Amino acid sequence: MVLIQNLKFSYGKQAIFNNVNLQLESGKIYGLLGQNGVGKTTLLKIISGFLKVGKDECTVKGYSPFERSPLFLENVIFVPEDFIAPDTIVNDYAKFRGEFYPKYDSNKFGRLMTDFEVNGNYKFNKLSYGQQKKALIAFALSTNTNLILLDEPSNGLDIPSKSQLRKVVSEASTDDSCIIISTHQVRDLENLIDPIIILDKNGVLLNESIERISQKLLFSFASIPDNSALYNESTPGGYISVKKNESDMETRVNIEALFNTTLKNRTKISELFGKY
Amino acid sequence: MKNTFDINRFYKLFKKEFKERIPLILKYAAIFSLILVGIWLTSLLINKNMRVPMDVRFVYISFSVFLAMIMAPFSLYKDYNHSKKGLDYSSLPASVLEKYISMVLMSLIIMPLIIITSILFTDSLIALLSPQYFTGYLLNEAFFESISQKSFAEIFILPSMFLFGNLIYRKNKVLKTILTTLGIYLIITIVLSFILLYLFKDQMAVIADAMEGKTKFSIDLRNMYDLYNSEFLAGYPGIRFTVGLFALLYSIGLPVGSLAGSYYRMKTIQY
Repeated sequence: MVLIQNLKFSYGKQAIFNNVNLQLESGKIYGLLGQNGVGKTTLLKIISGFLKVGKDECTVKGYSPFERSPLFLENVIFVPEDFIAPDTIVNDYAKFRGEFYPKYDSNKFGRLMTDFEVNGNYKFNKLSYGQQKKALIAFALSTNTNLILLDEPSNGLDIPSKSQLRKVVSEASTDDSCIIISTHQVRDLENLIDPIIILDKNGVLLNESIERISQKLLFSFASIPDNSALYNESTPGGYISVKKNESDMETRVNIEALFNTTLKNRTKISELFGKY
Repeated sequence: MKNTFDINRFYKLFKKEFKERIPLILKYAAIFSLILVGIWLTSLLINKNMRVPMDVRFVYISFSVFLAMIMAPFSLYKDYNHSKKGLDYSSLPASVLEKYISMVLMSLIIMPLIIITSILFTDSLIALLSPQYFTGYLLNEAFFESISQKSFAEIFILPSMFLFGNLIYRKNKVLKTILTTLGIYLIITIVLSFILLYLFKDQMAVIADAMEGKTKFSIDLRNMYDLYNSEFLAGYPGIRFTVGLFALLYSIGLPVGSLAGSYYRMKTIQY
């Protein structure tokens, strides 16, 4: 679906990506993680066609995104983190834009709006930030595009909406679709995102499925830190430890601990999983 | 071709654009019409002997339409190059050409047309209600004649430059566009003056002598065609060619360049 080869990108003299390689496939919900400023939003914008890169450095179903051809655009939807709403009634917004997406489902939009408890008869600017975001997510998922890019979708959502978000995103995932979610709020999306991509300033640190991660790493909880572990994290009541999995036992992946482990053990993680 | 321009998709886009932007256009139309109503009420309530003749109202309508044309891109499409607000329109599955044509139509045709219709309607209504104040109907044969006398190309020169300015500048768009436009005018005028007054110094002195007392000679870009056709330049092909070249640059080069630049900017803009 998305092929990124030797991607280079910089804002002026500030290099963001230098020879990044990634291959994203259909039928998966990718979690894109990384510290502030490593380029998560930039990567989503490059894939959406908002930023220019070399012709073959990023392709989506064979299209060069920056050409912004209609046939490419009708297959991609991007929900930005900061959505500045137009001065439009939500239902009109969806109706007018939905016409451009061949697989747009207005009934699905209505259903998602009901699930999110947002009244689409109001203008965007009469809704709270969280409601605006839910309306936009509802529209994005109703377009049924093959590629759905969500930048920090759980930011600004209340607790019931976060679980609703997990449900609707999970339902939106099909064998033909690829969903990429950039997030800092990994707990909000745990059990949803798989595979996990971790970016840092040098590129992709990790791009693995949950299954492979649990085969390679062991996540345990104990009252004292494990000195042989790659990483120990103090939590109320004890320590989460992450170490190499040298047994056949598979444990539940704690994404937050995985993220911190990866950042603190770049070389060891690279040795364990290989380079990307 | 379908990827570049598709008539059905363009129709959908234009319909969407029209429906979303018509409230704002109508707001502007109402403001310009209400100003005319204000003029009428002033003459009705304050100075009962004051008449508002047709030519004064014609100046008002010309000014209003011109203002609407140059302001349209800034009011209808000010967010197009905004790093966050612009994402919505840019990601819409229509080609850049379709978006560009739709933008040009809405800014340079639809908005001025609605405003001119609204003012003419208001003017006719007032002239009908109180002919003693609003003498004559603005909407008459002479009105259309006066429009046809003007070059349509000339009408679009400044608005096309303002359309381009709206797409180039992200902040303080109006001010920067006005300053850029003034700068371009100034540069063209200075270059033309330099060529005429230094390169054709002797010939210009002869022409100035011949023109003295008969007509006023000034380097005004808007009157370049008049100067080009002037009998005084008949024997001076070099000067005539230069004046003609600058007339073309002003009346065709600037609008075509601005419109082409706007399209290129839309195609290459990053967010």
